[in-house]
Amino acid sequence: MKTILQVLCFVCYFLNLSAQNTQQRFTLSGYISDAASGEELISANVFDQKSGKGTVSNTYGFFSLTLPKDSVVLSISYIGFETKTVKLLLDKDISMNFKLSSAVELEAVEVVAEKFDRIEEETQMSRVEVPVEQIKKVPALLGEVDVLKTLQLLPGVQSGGEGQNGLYVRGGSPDQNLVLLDGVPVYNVSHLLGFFSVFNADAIKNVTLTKGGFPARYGGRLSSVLEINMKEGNTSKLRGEGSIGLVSSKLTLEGPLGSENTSFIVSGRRTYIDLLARPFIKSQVEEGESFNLKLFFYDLNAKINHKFNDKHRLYFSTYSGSDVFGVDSKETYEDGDYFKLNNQTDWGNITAALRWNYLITNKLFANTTLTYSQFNFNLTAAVEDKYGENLDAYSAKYTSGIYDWAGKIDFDYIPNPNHYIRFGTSITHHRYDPGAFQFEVQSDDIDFDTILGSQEAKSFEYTLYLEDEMSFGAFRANLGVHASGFKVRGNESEFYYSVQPRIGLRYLLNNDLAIKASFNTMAQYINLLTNESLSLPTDLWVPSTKRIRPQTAWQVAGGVAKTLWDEYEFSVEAYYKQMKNVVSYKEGVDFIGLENDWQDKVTQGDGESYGLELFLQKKKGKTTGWLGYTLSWNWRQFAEINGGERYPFKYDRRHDVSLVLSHQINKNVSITGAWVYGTGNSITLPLFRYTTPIYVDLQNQQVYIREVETIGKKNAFRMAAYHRLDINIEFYKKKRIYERWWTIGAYNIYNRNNPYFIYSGRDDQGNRTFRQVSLFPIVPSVSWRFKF
Amino acid sequence: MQNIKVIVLLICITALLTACKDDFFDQVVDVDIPEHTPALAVTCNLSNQDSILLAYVTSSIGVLEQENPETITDAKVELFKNGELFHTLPYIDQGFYGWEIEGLLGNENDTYELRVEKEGFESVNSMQRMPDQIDIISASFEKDGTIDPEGERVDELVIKFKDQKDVANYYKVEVYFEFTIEDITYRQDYYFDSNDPAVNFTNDGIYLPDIIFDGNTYELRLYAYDLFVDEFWENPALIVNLVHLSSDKYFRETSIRAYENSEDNPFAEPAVIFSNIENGYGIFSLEAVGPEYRIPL
Repeated sequence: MKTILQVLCFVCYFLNLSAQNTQQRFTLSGYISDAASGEELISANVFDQKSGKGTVSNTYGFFSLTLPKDSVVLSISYIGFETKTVKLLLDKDISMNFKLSSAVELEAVEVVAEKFDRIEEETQMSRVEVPVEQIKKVPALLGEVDVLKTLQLLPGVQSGGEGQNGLYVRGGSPDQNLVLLDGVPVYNVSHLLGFFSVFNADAIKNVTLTKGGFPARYGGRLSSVLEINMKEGNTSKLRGEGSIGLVSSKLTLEGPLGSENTSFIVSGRRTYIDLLARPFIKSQVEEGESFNLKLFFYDLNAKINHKFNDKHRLYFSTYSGSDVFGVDSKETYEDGDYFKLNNQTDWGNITAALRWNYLITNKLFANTTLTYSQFNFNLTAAVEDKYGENLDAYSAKYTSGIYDWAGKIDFDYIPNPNHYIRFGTSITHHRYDPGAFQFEVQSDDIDFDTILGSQEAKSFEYTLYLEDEMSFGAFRANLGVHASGFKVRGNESEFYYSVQPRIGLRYLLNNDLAIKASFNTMAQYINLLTNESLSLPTDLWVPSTKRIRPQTAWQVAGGVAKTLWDEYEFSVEAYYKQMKNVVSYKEGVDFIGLENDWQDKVTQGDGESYGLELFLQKKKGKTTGWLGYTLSWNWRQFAEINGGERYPFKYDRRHDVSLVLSHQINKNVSITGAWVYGTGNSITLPLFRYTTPIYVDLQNQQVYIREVETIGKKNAFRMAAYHRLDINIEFYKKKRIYERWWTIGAYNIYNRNNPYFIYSGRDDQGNRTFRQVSLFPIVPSVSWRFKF
Repeated sequence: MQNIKVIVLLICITALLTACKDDFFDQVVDVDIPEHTPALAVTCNLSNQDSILLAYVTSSIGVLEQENPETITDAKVELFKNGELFHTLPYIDQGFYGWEIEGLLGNENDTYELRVEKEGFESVNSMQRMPDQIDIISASFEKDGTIDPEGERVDELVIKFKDQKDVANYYKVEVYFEFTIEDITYRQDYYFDSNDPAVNFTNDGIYLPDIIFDGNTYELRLYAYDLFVDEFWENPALIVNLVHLSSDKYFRETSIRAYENSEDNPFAEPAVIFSNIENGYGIFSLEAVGPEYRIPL
């Protein structure tokens, strides 16, 4: 490791020298933040109008721009903020922080895209950043703002079933998405079987989805990287926001702690179906009985930051969220005997990150992070029966989970405007509980305690990467390499490694049309055993082992991008992705069964996806939104499924269209609509039937014969097309001490019968036919949001 | 602002009107299903204790065809033992073919093959080996001997047997209640449940793979509710049979159970019913019933 760092330092030194040897150069560096809240702005632009050189701020708002000694005219810009122009003489290294004012407060200012903001300037393709304010405007089921469902409206991203928040990116499955909350992987992103996501939009600063063309700093998953960064907390004054909706309520508080150098944010959300039901339940319970229904989910985000000085900053952020469903009941008798029953199913994530930003020089930025992430699922059933002196107790518990500890260090080195170098390394320790049953029985004559099921497994995952984003005139490239290793311990001990080249290219034609291309390979060492239909908490994360090899993929993409009329971003991308060793349950296995180890229940095969994505986005003005279209093909092939023949992936969708439009009617009223259309999901249906005796008793001459149906080729049929229109109208009013928004909306406003699944049944006349089940008719919603 | 009020009103009216639509959640749809080529579907489960060999023959039919699958009445059904024709099974009734042999089928490790031919259908066949008999070492019954998952006191039946090592074995447990009234002996199926996580329940009773006790002596614990024994009954007893199954029999029964569980369940992976009939559908299986174990009550 020491040798590698020495080599990296030498590379940095060499690049610095090569930049300096032509002309004397100086560096302007600092942080860019929101003037109102003090929040650092990610990917804000710093652009010198004279030299035409520029850079962007990193995840922590830091930028560094090295230019020849000269006077410079800097434009500092960020979408939704007033552009700031600064003239200064760069005759020495300068450290300067910039604060930008929100354009929302400056109605007269017409904010247009600065040259450096434009999509054609970016080297990276297949990457989308969705502003959180836009996410809050997009209509949602029951008015519950959902980050993941907004991302489903982007080209190349398919939703799963109706109302589900799983992301199927370019033919990949949800487990192939690396979801990072403040840099910490989140393993289960769903509440209530996938109908709501775990991310509370009030606590989020920005959301970025990368679908392909992965730079070398990303690794560990095949299909996408979703980065969600939490707000850091207002550094100037105590602020709050919250909402009351049909499903849940939220409250967020943020502000400085002592001085501007320390800030915090705490945000909580909880559903309250159980609380609303409590009085009704209480009225039904008789004397001597107690009954407690537990049916809720909650999220709690918290973050605290301290700026020691411009060189050192420390952040600690945490997230805790859980779903709980259960019943506690107790019946107490006059003689003191009782019968107690506790059934509970709960699952949830806990993440934590401790981050230290260290500005080593004005060109070298280091970020050191320690993280913890866990997801676990518990199913408990316990009975106690006390009669006289005796106490009989029986309990059964099923647990599964994954627990990670990780440490990583990332460097940003910006020797000059033509190179932006990132390098770093990480180590992660994974511990897996891939599903175990514990049975305990205690009574006067029985004492039984046993654990059955798959055993705990542990592994280490290592990564090392180096990438350089370089520019030469109209040509830009992001070249890098990501190396990873995975050591799984125990009976299935094995070591795997992978070296993954990453290439991103951009060439800007004279008419500002950018031609982009990318190639990347990816490796994934942990797998999710899951049902394809729902995001169930019983989903198991398991490691690659001697028998289950790591999943790998390579992807190539090409396309064009251009800004039209200064307001519209337009891009077209074509991609081809091939996946190896993807994991699926074998046909007909029971995923909580004990018959076999999990490795006996799964099979590995190949996946292939290719398609074309079109994206037209308008980010500014009174009317904003986007139009996305995807044409795609997604395939799977397993030796042990479908007789070894290739079949369409369940969420293979030939055409997928999404249109999102938001219009500010006046200062106080805005309307947002989202229309989606998708080719129907593929489905497996029965083809034929026959009768078979289930029970034969010759002695008593009893025979039970039943008819059974047999399915045909997997996913050989298509359900009807899916389409839906959702609308929100938002009424805003600024009160004396707070601002408030009333949002009235409707999901599936034209009440389309979208297919959820199809089964064979009978019609009203008793004839055999297929029947379609739909889930959500028109669902109106109302919510009240406030901010102070 | 007036326009907004109109839009809100329209949303409310649309919501009210469309929510009243009949059968929103479940509707008939047209699906273009390819034509199905019928094939023979055979069910033949034989035991070492059988003296009557019985097979059921029918044909498959397209899923949307309105009529029911027809039983085949004129098929040629033959059972081969160790490669030689053992018996031809003539048609009896309602799709069943059968033949009564002298004595019992018996004989561990013999190989049997079932062949069925019918004009207009492709001939089908399947081969199986008779499993070994496994003896019960001991079995006991205790009134109120354990508790069920709800904490209620229940009767307990414990069955002890030795599993064969390094071979995947599959078992079925049959329990009967037997008693005599006026010299006539009655035998009834008696239903037991179990807290044992290794147990699989099927339509045909309690099934048990040896995954968690391979090669060891195992105590299977079952429970039942309130076994009633009338004081006038003579020789009341529980009769316990341990049945050693061919693996195909186990997979067939558990797959039927999975199929029944996945019926009308959109979240379940579609379950394929296990079939071991070449060129057709269905099952040919063998099982060896061990010596009866009698527990006097």
